[in-house]
Amino acid sequence: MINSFRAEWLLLNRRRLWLILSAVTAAFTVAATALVVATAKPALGPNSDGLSLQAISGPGGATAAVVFSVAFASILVLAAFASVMTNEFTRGTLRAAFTRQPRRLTLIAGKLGARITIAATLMLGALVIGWITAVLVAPGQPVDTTGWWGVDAIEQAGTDYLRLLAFVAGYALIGTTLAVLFRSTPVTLGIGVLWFGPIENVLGDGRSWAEHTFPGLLLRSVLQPDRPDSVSSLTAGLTLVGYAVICIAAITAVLQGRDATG
Amino acid sequence: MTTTTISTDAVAVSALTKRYGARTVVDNVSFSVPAGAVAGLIGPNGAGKTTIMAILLGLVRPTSGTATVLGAPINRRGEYLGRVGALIETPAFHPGVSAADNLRSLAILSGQDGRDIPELLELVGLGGRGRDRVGSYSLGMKQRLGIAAALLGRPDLVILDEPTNGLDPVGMQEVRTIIRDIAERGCTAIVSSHLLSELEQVCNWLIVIDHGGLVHLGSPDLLGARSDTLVLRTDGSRLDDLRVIAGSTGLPVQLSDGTLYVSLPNDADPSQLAAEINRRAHVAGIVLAELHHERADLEARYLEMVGGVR
Repeated sequence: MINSFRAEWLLLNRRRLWLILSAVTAAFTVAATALVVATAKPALGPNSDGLSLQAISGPGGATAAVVFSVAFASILVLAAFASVMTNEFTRGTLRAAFTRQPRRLTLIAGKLGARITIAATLMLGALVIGWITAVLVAPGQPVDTTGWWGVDAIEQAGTDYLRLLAFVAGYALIGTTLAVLFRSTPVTLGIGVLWFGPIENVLGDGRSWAEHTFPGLLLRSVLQPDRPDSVSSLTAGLTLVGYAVICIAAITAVLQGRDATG
Repeated sequence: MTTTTISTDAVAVSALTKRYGARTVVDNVSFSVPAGAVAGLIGPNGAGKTTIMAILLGLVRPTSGTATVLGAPINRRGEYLGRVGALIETPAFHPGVSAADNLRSLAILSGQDGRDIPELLELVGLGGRGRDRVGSYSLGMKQRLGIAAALLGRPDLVILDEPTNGLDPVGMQEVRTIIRDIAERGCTAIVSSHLLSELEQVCNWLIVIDHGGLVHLGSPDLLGARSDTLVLRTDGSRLDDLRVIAGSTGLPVQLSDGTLYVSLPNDADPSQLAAEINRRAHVAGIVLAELHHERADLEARYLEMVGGVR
């Protein structure tokens, strides 16, 4: 798996790619954080979107906006990981890799690991940029920012980062699984966007059984445990581990059972 | 190289069949490729060449039949893939990455250090372009890079699927030179093409398939020897007399556009027959304007086999 990781890392670790991804991440983070902090309200109604001033006050308040924004970008995360993998099928680069690495699940795991490492680095940058943005925008709002500095704030940021990583890794695995199953970019994105967009959020919104079973809503619970409709992190985590096992089993079955033609 | 000097098979295929639904792509094909041979896998488009290669590489599972590659069965591809280099279907690379890094990534996947990459880029004529992104490459350059990828780590078996696709005549000649170089390294090569003329100069083993089935297996000599001819012309007179003399050898004679063609059997000695016909014509007072041995046109023979037009 280390060789698969290194081979993928060599392809991804390029200045041009870093520049593009960093610019997109920075632009998204600055815009989203500024918007969320600037529109924070003293109190939120039951069906209101956004963050309350209370939520962004105290330790972790500076990074709360980033976490909130990424939760809304779940479809983008899914689409990014899915399309990278379907492109490998379309271009034939995965087929070429299969001729050099007979352990296909190991190959996919190495690729996914390298891609998540890139995402993890970008998430770290996003938290820092979001923090700075929140500090710059906060004076325009009646927010108590004294808790944004200090050990508690750093600890909360660390927790937020781990939650972000779990959230991104979950969508990365789901996107990769859909890509391996369907191989086609339009089909994969169509199914992914349909399910994790309207179906989960319309069908599952406010329904306890959906919050406990739908993978997208479980990932949201992991990322935003303070939401009123979130299930406990332990329940969400265990259920998501079950989904991860299903994903790995599906990838294994498809890679072993299906021809790898271009 | 003759087949009698080769003792082991690099590839052995037995009763291989691949069906997609009702469509049979490979139909009960059996063949072997001796170790050290340069084997041409020849057949028209859609004959099943790529599918056979993909099966050998473990990319496609056969419906039935078995095959071994470098002594290992194809269902245990981990035992041989590290010793095999392949260019299958179209060359596939990451367009935003340089040629050298694409090769380096493939080398790492196989646990190789990639130290032969500069040498391989030179070999395929991309020595000065290794740092360029593959997205800026022409089809022919990508094809060359695909060949370089197949040669990474000095494999024991190289499988090249239509390696001359997209290449100009000079490029085709260079690919033939590379294939000869592969053979000189002691490596076995299987090279597919829909044109026998592309490969007949470099292959010492031919596998001809059509509609998924095997139509010829063996050395190129065996494919072409059946149609060798002696070509005879007079100075314009007494052509019918010469036809009688040629026919007296007991061999079939055809007249076409003032030229006589004497078909030679497999075991005939063309020089001896030519001398005999020349002697009899001289005795009869016939002056020969032309007498030569024409080796069979392999391409024509191949086209006959696969139902093409001669």
